[in-house]
Amino acid sequence: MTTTDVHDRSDQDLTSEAGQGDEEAFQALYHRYEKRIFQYLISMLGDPTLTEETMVEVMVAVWKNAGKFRGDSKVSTWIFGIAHHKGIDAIRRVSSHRQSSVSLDDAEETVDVGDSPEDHVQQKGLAKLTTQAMKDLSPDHREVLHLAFFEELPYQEISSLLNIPMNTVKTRVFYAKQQLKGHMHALGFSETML
Amino acid sequence: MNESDQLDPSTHHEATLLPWYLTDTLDRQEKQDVETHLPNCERCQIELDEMKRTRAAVKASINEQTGPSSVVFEQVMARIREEQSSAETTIQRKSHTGPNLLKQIQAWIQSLFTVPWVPVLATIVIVGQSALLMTNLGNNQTLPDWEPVVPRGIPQAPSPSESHHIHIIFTETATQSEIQGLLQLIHAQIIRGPSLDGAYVLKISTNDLTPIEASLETLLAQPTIVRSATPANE
Repeated sequence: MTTTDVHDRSDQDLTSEAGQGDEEAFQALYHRYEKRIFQYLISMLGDPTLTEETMVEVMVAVWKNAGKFRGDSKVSTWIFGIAHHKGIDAIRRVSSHRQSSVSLDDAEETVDVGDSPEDHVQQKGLAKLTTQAMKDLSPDHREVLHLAFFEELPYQEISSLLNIPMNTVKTRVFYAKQQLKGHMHALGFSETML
Repeated sequence: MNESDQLDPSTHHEATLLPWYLTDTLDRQEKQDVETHLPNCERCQIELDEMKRTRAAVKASINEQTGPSSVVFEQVMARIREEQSSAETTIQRKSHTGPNLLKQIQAWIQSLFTVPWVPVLATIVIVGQSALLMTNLGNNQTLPDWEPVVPRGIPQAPSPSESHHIHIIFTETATQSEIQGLLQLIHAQIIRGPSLDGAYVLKISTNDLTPIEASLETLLAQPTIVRSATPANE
């Protein structure tokens, strides 16, 4: 198989070939999803180190289970499903160590409490402020916002991926957005910034 | 976090569909519901506007994440190769236990043949055995010395009508060599037997002119070998 062939192949083909032990196909699948899965996990977990550790677990699980993938869902949904479960495992593991939910204090970008909200906004920009506000959300809220706003998945697919009712998906996104807005205001966000 | 499916009663159902209205992933009916509702609801129009800006901000925030370091890829591949290696070791370990004992024995036997003198010895044994077998086949009219029991089955030669036949029962203590010597003495061969009572039928060679009585006398003179011997009507 040539490199060009690998890049031309569908997710389904790559998964099937990876399931038969084809490392090259797996590597192509890995590179196709690495950024999206990393972004999804960091949305869930906040901490980059924990995210990278979890990502190793996710991708090893993708390799080990590729042979069992029957194509009942999209490959992306299947991989995000694995990432979701590994992310939940990581949150539980960290919570049990720290006796609290995932600490976001370890994140690379932290708010300098010495700055006024206005200074902070000017320095970091809207994206940074949103990132910080996202970190103040619960992992569940971060996760659904990521899947709905960034991955742009239909609510039916999010429901299937997270194994929760469709109405719960709708209300969770609705409340997550409200919470995010509240955190952004607390960090100095004003409507004129957008 | 509010995990309930229940919304604040003042929140319109259409407001919860707005994230997917923005990404155009609603089905036709839902999209139509939203589009029918929006022009008549100022609150939902504001909500839609906020949703657009929040979505843009979230996307910008996530896009700031560049992706994992190359170390992650290296760790994944190292884990995969480790797992493969471990799986192969397990298979090899399983193949050396339990049901594959025969394979182990086979391997042990094969290892013997790596010693130079073993094939030579095996060849000598096989040639020796073959020679012995040929010798015995050549002497099939006589009983082999090492056989403690008289051969069973019907000997080859059909009995001509003029030949003499004798019913004979040997003693239990008679050895093969004793029986063989006695039969050679009277030029006889076993042509049938043993019967249920242990009797054999002897045929005296037709070329031999010795009367049957003389043969019987010779046989009965060996009570340690012959229990009984009588003429047979064949």
